Amino acid sequence: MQRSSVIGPVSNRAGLTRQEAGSASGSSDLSYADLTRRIREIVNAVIPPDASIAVVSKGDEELVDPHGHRARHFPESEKGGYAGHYPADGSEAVALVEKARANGVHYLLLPQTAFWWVEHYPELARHLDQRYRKIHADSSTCLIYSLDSLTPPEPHLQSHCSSASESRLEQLDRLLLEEPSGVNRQVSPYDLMYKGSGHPERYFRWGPEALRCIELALLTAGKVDITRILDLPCGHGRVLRTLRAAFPEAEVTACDLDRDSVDFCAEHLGAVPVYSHELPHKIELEGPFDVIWCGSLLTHLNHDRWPGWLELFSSVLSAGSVLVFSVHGRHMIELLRSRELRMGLTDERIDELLRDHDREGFGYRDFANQDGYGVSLSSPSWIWRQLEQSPGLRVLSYTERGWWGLQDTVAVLRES
Amino acid sequence: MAVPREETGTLAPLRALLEKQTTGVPELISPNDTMFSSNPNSSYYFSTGQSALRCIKLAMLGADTGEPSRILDLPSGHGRILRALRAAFPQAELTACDINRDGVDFCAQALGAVPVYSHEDPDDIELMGAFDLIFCGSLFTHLDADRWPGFLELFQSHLSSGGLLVFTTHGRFVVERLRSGEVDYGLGADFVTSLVTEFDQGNGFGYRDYPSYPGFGFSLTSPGWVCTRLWKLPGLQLVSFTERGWNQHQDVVAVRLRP
Repeated sequence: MQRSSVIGPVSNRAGLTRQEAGSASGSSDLSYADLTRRIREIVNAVIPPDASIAVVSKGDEELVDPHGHRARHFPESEKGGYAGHYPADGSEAVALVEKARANGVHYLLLPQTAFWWVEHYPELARHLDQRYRKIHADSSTCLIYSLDSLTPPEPHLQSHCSSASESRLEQLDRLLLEEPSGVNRQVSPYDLMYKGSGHPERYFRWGPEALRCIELALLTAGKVDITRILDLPCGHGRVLRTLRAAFPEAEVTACDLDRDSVDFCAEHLGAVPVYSHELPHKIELEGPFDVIWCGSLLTHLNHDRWPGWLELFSSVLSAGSVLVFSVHGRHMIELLRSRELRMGLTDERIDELLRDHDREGFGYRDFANQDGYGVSLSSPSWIWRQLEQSPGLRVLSYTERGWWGLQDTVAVLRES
Repeated sequence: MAVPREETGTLAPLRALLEKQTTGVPELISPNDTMFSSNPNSSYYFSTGQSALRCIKLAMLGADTGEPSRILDLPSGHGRILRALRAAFPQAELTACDINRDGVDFCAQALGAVPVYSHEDPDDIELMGAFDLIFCGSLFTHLDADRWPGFLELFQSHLSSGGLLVFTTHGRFVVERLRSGEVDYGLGADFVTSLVTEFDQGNGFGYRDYPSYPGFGFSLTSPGWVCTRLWKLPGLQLVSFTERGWNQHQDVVAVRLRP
């Protein structure tokens, strides 16, 4: 029943029609090796880590090996490998999709080499178009559907549907998922987050995913009028550029220790620049703000530095305003425990970090050669104890894996 | 009708959609409905359902779930919340479950729910199949700590993949109201004093039986205590924990079964 919040670089608003998919069949300019590589890049960019994907693979193991995702052949045999044959007809294809969905598959991927399915199994094409969200459509690479829940019809079908047929929840969800237009895509050559993202579209996804957390928090709080926003730490505007587009009338303040990034946000993204400081009380912020977004700051600080930051944020929020910050919660802990993720830490430091967390509900270790900056792990119970030290803050939401399926998000309301 | 983001650039259409009252809520109230007879204010009675819907919709948005097809309301009472669920999700199959058999029968006859009689021991409740949404309002607020795991496990075992459980607790707001003496919920000063003392000394949990009702009383829980309990069920993922989410009063916890 889960619905993906991820819309790919080519969103459903520019989706591939059945006709386009059919005419593209067999016409890719890419070599097969390039096609599989490109599909992996797309999967990594548009599908959350750990999601399960069914791939119309014709048994090719290369196609079911996207990094970090649980990929399966489609159709699948009882033992979990390729079934060895195609569905007999469209009805069987639909039934197989629904069976895969019931077994926990979140996405269906049709590589360009399987676009003929769309023509050959019209019942399947109709079923997918009407029931599920097409999150990526590109005639040279692949089609990807999110199978996680019933969704509004594609735009090209909407003229046939009355607005009344879309429930209020579906309208809400569609609006929440809709990305703001006019996001500035200029990237600084010094933007380390961009260089480390692995794929440009992956970099640009962080902003909409953060915006979704913020909008949910504002909805919960019942706050609508947003005139001043703080993004701390802003970096080179990975999230700020989306906030700028989503709240075009608001004043957005960019704050970071990295002065080059603050200057970039001011010059190219229209932000008010404020240089940050290791000591929060020395930061010259002029509040109050209606929204504060603090992504990936407390995730890197030891426990003794949390109170200072929470006090700073609390002091520049007005009554009724909202702070949203991210933390490393259970999911990141599991990734570290299994060593699927190391975050630049040695085995010894990871073990120490996990041991501290398991014992105290909080763990922290410096990155190598970086005194005072590292990786923190925190349990909700521990975070709640920190928030209880700041009277007047009310928790609007604690959401596991709230920020693009990785970091937990905590939203608090300043009551008085 | 929704207004595209491009035309507004604000949260206004989102909020308007969320806050719009659900219409078509059945108005027939059972004469045996103690939730109404104890406070015969129909505006308040129906507002609790609207507020519960708001919490549920926010949780569904947070979890990215679609429309539920099977919903369980436990404890349903005489349908104070269930009637709002009926109006909001008219295509869904609703199951009403309560120890109060008259309440369950009313929900079945007047609100079209599938009736299931509840039981003190959750292991003895005969629920059928998996639910996409379980609403549990004001149950854990009345149970001692040792009875939480049984109900949480029952709910977990009856959630569909990705399904949502939304339940309520007495959190910091209720604790502080009791501590300050602003209200005593009819519990009496001695009861309140011992309850709050137990909460303060009990790592964020306090409970006292109502006089003459062994096994049923008034609980106080800190969010941290609730999360610690939830962490014992690794199949559940926390979607949201909202202080004073229900009617600006009880905390609302939403978890989903990990797909």
